[in-house]
Amino acid sequence: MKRLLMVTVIFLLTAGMCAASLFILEKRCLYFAGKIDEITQSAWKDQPETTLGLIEELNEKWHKTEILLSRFMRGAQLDELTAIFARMGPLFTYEDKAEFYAETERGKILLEHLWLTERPTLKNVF
Amino acid sequence: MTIVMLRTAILYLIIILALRIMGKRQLGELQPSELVTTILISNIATLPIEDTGIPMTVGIVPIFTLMCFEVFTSFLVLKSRKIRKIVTGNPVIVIRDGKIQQQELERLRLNVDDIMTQLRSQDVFDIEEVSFAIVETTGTLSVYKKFSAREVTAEMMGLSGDTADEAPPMIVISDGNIIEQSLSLCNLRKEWLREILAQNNMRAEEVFLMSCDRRANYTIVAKEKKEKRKQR
Repeated sequence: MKRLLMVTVIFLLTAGMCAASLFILEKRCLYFAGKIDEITQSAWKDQPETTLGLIEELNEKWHKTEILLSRFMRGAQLDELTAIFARMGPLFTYEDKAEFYAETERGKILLEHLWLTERPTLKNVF
Repeated sequence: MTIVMLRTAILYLIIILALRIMGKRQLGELQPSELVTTILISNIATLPIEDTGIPMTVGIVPIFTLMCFEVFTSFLVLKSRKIRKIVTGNPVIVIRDGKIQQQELERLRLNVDDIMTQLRSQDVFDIEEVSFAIVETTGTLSVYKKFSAREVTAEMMGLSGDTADEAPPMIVISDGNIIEQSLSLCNLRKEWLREILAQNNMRAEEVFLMSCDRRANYTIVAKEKKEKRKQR
């Protein structure tokens, strides 16, 4: 019985950790998608200082989030997002607007894709 | 490289822990479900070692999940006969009253060579000696010999022993350390041990191995003294 109890606790902790990782991922994906929207809005309104400030904030927060997410997700997907966010600043600064908006859109889609592929749906499990 | 080394060490410890939690059944003869679990665990553990882009949790979570399911399954198998039948199956009698059950062999997809190999591994070279043979759920063959082929036992010879013969010799000192549990199993006390060591002019730390039985018969193997290297 002692062994069964121990194993039940381990199982519940493992399941809890998995649930927590999904919760964190969802929250972070929504947060960063919202942040990208803010950056895009600010860029449209031609507010360079605000936009650059938001981009810097995004990169700082992403760096911390990446460390957390890399504990339960493959590095390749996160690396791609890191590259996209890192490019945003220079693209905006050097007024490559087309590329800038393409990257923001790419970032949003990638975040959505990240969440969609990590969700425990039948399609993802099988 | 350092990451690979650290991951290997961590996963090694986790696997040891998982195998310990799953219990000694894993170390003995394996049921099909246990075999599957063992193979899966060993394969899963290599994934984060081979690819450092994969997080450790990709190895740890499946190992713990398999370990949990293994323990749950073995608990259910213990409690329910129906589940036991589904998970482990039933032993099958392949030789009954000296007669080979050919249909059962066919059902198990075993041929004559398989059966003879298993019999020979149990020192049975003549099928005439076998009264019953059962293929266990682990795939091993258990053999019950005919009376005429069985080893002579003390009971057959009309010999009677006493309770001292019912317990095997136990290791009471192992590499200098006294094992008190073994002493109590031999119904002997520490004072007796000290007396024996004193008689042999030895201390416990100098003993490599000491075994004794309930009749207080003992065997002592002293530690070898390390020879100092001669200086050139």
